Amino acid sequence: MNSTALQIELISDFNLQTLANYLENGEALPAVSARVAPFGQVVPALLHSDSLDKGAFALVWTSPASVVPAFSDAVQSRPVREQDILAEVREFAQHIITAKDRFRSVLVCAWSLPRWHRGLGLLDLQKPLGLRNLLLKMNLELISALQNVPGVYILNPQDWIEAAGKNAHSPKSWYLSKTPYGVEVLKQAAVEIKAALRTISGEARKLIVVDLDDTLWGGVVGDVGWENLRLGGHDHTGEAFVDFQRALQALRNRGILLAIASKNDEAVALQALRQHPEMMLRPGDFAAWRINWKDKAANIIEIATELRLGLQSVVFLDDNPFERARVREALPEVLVPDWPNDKTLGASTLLQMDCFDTAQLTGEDQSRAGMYAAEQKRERQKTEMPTVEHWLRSLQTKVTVEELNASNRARVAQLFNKTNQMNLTTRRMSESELVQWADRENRKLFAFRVADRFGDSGLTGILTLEFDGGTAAMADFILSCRVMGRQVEETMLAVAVEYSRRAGRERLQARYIPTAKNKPCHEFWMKSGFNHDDAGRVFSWDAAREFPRPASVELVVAENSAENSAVSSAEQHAAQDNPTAAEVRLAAQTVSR
Amino acid sequence: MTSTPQIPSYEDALPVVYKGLDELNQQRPRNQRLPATPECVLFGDSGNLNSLELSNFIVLIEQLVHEKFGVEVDLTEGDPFSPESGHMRTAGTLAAHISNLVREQA
Repeated sequence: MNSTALQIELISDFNLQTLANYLENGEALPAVSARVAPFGQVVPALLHSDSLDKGAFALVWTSPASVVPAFSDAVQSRPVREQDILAEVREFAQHIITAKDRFRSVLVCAWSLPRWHRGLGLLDLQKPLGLRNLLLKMNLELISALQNVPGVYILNPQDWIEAAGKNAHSPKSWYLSKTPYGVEVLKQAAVEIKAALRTISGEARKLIVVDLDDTLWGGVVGDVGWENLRLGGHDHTGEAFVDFQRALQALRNRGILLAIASKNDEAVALQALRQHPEMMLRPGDFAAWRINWKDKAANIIEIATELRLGLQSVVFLDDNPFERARVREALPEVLVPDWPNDKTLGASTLLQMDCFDTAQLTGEDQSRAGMYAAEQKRERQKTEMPTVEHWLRSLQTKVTVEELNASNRARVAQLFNKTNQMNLTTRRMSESELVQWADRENRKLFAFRVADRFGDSGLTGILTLEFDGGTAAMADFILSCRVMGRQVEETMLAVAVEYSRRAGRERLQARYIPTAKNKPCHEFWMKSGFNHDDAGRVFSWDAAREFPRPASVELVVAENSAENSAVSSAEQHAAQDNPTAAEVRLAAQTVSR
Repeated sequence: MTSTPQIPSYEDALPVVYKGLDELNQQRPRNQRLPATPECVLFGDSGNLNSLELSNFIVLIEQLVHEKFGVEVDLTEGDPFSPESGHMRTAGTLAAHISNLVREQA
């Protein structure tokens, strides 16, 4: 067994050993170690089985008749009341919610029926007691009961069944091995479950770098001119390119950034983007572009650097196999999918990619593209200012500190799990684990929102402290790359020092854990002014000494921080030992002078 | 118009068995993957497949035979696991059995 493999427990009323085999032996990451709970014992496995460690995931995949007995009556055409069925669904959902505490996350499969089961036939979807009618309501009830439970995610096996085709359900497999599905369904399930695990682990891609000629539009603009591009019009290929642009636009609206890497004359290409009447994406929709005759790999590095993203965040789309091969070879971290020769398949190829999935959808996601547009303005102004200090002052940066609360915890968990570069320890925890971790008397989590005159960057910083004797240990120091270098880092340290001092601690200590991606964090800490050991791993500050807060940053404490605090009740009990939210405000006000 | 099923020879049936082995190998650790050879032992004292894998393999091969030759076969009929004459002994015995089954039904 791979010691770094993610553990997952498969809980079902049917035999999922083949799924476990696909999960463990498939080439796709992450590596997984799967344990199959005894099949047919779903509720006992949910409630009582000896768990894997707390970091394990669970998959709950059941047939509806086994966990909702009233539905079994409906299958047998016995009289049954819809409300009784839905009550049993809610009871099952409650078991999942109870089990959730034992796992990092629980993946729950929605229910489906085999295609060969016609139920009431023509009337099955229409009549209240048709099996498909009931199943739709049951799935909605299940989703409704679970949709706001942190760490619970609902998967749709119907997609896997459709992908598997006519051999999706196999009565013979059922009779031979108590597996109702053919291997194609289980193989597809393994693909989707691994995608879900990657998503929950915060490995989503954030940037699409797209080529122009024959990728974003049909034709070579330098040869045919923008007026003669294949884009829209009464032309099936032109319509397909419009749909591909719409698909990119939809991803942009979800927070995925768009950029261009194209071998073209920049003026010619930008003219096409601005003037073509059926162009769905205009220059303002792209966070960056490199339209020139240079090597595309070099251009992608420049774009990622400009947007402060690691190459592991980048997807590169290009119709030219030579360019794809070049980027794959030069930049192995960049995801370069095969691109279809058939131009009508662009949109569907893009929309089936799972690398953009996220475990939460937050306001920050939806406004990310606008934030990067503001960043471009910021960077332009930087070049116009005589010194960096002038530029920092001109930004009028405002940092708002708040505690972990019900309204910010989804975003905090997301930031916690996806930030790589400015991350002291790169711990990963689910939303519920994070809330649980912070809900201890000797721990404190602060979240930081950053805004300036160019725009609101949203919740972009996290600081956690753990108190032990005279030491306040910094467990996490996390800052989004979007706001790095604007002295938010120093402001966070000032808050940490002041809070530690007011908590009666003698020193603040931080231990840097290196990863392949967090070198920028180390560079910041080495220049921070904290004392450090020879190896540059342990940093400390005498809490009696004030940490100099940047003059260019205004620090504000959120008014509702205490009221919304997820840990406020614990604090009331811990008032003797740790500062309350009101004291946080006082500490921050002291720092903000 | 009805199509006449193709009558497969042993050599025609062998790739179907190998395709099933290839699928099965995806469920196995890399160092336990089965070779695509007629001598590959499936079932018996030195057999490579456990009962779940055998079940999966049988269902897979039946589907592949249907797709390739247009004939529904039942590989659990007869005495598939007989140590002396069972068709599930090796990849080669299975291919020969498929060839015979399809010929009988054609």
